Amino acid sequence: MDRSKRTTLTVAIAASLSMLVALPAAAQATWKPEKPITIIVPWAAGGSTDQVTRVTAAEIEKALGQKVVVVNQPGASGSIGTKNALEAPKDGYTWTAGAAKDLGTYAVLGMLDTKIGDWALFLNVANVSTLSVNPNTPYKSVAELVDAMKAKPGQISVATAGVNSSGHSAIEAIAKATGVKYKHVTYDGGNPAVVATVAGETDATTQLTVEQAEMIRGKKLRPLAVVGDKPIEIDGYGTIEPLTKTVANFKDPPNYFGIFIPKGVPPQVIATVEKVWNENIRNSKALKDYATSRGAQFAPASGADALKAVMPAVQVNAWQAADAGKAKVSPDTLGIARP
Amino acid sequence: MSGGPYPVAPRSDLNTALVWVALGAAIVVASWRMERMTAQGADLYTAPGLWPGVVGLALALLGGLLAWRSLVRAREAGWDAAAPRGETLVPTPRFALAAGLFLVYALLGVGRGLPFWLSTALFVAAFVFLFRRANRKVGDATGSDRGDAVLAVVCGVATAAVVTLVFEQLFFVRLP
Amino acid sequence: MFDGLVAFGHSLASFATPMSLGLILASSLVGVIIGALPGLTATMGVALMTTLTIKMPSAQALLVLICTYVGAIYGGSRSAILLNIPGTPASAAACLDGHALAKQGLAGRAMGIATSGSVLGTLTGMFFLALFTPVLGDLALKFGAYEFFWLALFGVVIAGTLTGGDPLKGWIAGVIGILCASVGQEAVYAHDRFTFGSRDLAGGFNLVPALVGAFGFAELLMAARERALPVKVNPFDSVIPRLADVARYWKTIVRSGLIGTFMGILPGVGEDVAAWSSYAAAKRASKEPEKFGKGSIDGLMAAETGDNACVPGAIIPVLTLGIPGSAPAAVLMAAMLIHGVRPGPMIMTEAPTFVYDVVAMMMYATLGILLYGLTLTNVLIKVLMVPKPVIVPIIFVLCVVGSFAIASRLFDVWVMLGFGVVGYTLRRLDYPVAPLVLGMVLGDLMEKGLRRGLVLSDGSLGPFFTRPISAVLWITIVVVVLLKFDVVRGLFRRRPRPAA
Repeated sequence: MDRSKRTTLTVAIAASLSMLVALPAAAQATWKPEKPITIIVPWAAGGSTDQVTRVTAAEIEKALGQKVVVVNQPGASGSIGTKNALEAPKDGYTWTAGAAKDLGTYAVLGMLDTKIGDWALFLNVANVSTLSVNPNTPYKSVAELVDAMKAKPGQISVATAGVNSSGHSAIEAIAKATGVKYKHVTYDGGNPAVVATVAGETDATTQLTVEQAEMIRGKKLRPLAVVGDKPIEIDGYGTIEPLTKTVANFKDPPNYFGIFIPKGVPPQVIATVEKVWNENIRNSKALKDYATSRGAQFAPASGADALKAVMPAVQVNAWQAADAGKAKVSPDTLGIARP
Repeated sequence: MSGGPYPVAPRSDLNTALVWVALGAAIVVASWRMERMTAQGADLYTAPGLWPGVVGLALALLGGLLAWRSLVRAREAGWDAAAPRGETLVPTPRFALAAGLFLVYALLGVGRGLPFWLSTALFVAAFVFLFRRANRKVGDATGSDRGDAVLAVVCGVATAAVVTLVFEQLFFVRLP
Repeated sequence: MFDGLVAFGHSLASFATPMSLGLILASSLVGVIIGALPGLTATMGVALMTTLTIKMPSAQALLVLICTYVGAIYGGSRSAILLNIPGTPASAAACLDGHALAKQGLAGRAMGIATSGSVLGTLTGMFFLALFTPVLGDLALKFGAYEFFWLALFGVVIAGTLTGGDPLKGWIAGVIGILCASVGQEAVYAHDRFTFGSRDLAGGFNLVPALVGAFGFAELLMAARERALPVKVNPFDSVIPRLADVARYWKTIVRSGLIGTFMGILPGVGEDVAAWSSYAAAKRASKEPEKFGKGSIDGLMAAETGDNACVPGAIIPVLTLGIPGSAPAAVLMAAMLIHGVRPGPMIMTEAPTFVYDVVAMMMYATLGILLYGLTLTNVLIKVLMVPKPVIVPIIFVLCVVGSFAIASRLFDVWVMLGFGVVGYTLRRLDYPVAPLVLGMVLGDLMEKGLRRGLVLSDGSLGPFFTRPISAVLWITIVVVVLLKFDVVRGLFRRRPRPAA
């Protein structure tokens, strides 16, 4: 009794205080960082998140006139680094980065108590997966591979970066749409999974196109289809057709990457970064070049647009986990509707 | 391996061996009871507990071998036969002091509200002063309390300043 | 071959900037000092420097680490000769003849021999690094999950066998390392193992803080037990190496270089074993084996050439297989991973110039130790005279701040402390620590190899035994264990008297 009364009081005080803080903040909308900003990349150095975040960090650095330091805190499917960003002082100097769908599913998997709404999202690129096979395998098209998977259920091996990875979501979506069974072989990350397919240890991979681009260009992988509804152009190779051409009922929403700032930081931080996003990132040549050379889609977005863009992937990911029996908390209770 | 004296007494080997056997057994049990992930289509050979179980078993077996060996050795040379090393497992006062300072600094001085530079300066200065004095007491060093105090403060302040500057200004690490 | 030379030339040129040259000079010096200070090992030096260089561009950070590594292995001979205390375990063999020579008033000559031996040893190993790595890289592509499992197991078994005198305890230490590696979220189902609900533990133990603890903090605890005795330095003559010494013992140099490189390539076998086996081989081949231990130039040359040749040798399996050849190389590999370089069979495809960059770094490190070998003696003696109470707390501060700096996590500081205490306890009970490190590095690889292999073979153990390379590997492991037959025999040796 006493306790709940005190809580109400605290909330009231906090609310009025934040009003006091918010009023002058809205007036002076720009934020001038006085010390280096840290972006925690919750994955290992050299991976797809790390690469795109470093390109973006350099652009933000130019725009804000302050050093942006990228710190790698890999481990536990990205939940450790994300947790540290969430628990850092809410002064606007600690951000994180990654795939937005992960941010939305940590709570479902019982890894971290956070929702996508707890974060201000600043998206930079959308990554899609490509279904590729080792060139020594006989499969020349999606149809041939699917037929083979139907003929030998659970015998065709597919390399991914593990449960929850983009590659796993992609092959799960394919399996669901075509009703095939496959042999799931997991690796330490996207690149090792791709390398295993190149070396012939596995027959196929569905990792991100950015992770396969080099090998596709070097003819060490044979791309069969982009796991999505738009074709992709890779410099030095040509066009990869979308999977929707062969598998009509296929649906896999794009996987957006970006930089995330936990809500609760001073509002002028969010306002300033939003401005940077609209003025600098949208026109960033470096980021555009990165995207086109790696087979990613340049897709800057912020605010409500960003949230709307990432929700489909969060829904698919969360419910995929729930249907596989991995969910500790039902996505329903977290307000994630079934896609 | 010629018969004794062994570097460590068979009794102490037996004790650690029993620790390994217990630890190994505990890990085997924990691995057996670990979730098998069958709901997600795992077979026994892909269950998360497989590997720790195998390794725990290996640890228990090796621990058993060590226990057996210490019995053989004890029968041969006696339970306490060990090569003289001029030291015992009992911590010396010097060791206790050093370990105490290390732990206080690392557990209480870092990330517990005290600024990093301050706790570092205090730790280094205290360490230098106390050990210089201890060395003088046993005649391993010369000097006075006063000289050592000055040295200690200089070392402490210099270390704190250099480490803080290098990490914060050069490497952009936010120190705790 | 010619392409390789061109690439090597490019790499050499890329480091010829004032910044890089400054780093080479500084880090070789740090390496030599760490090596010379008793109690500070090469592993600890490389681990500490990894934490200090975490924010540097990757090429420069690795340059610093390699210079530190080479410098530390060389620096150990200085205190071995001047103080009769091996600065690193690797220079224990150099102590025997080096200090004997010093007592005869020939400390300068002995240091000259150590310098020439170390330089030529490093060059020998470097030559094989450049020659073998690309070739072995192709071979390594034939390695699949099954082979990696055996290779990693081989590393742990042989590290347990050869480091420290007691294989049984070595294997136990290795197994404990493997168990440490299995803490945290596993790779296939992202299931948390042994985390007791802690999100920090779900990420597992970070390797570098663990190593800083096991080698750095544990050493400080060991050092804290002992009274710091005043240092007594032998007088010395000219330290300039004599060509005559090199010319006369060229056979020893070539033999020790080969042995050292080979010992380096063997997973888990470090510089100390390389030094001792080169020493033993030289003694066997010598016409005057009775002089060994009493100031034999042959013996000192063999020990110093062997341990330095081991350094590039130990990097060969890192680059080709992603399996470290020694404890410091394990740290170096961890550093490469942190910096986004993934050593392993694909390195020649993914980053073809990287191998030559490493060779070039090695080359500059060799020049660094040559330079300091000729000049540094007096300064080094002054450093050795700095009282321990000053050095110990500063190193500890670096252990703490370095562990933190890697990922800005306090948890890593606690990992460092925990592994320090465990490392200290194990060492006190006569367990070697190197296999623990190898176990931590290789445990992950073993598990993934095993489980991935089982997935690919649908649960059959067959391919683990029948694939050709796998067969060679498991038979070798069995032979290695059986060769340690005295261990097995030791278990069953009984006095005639029946049990009481």
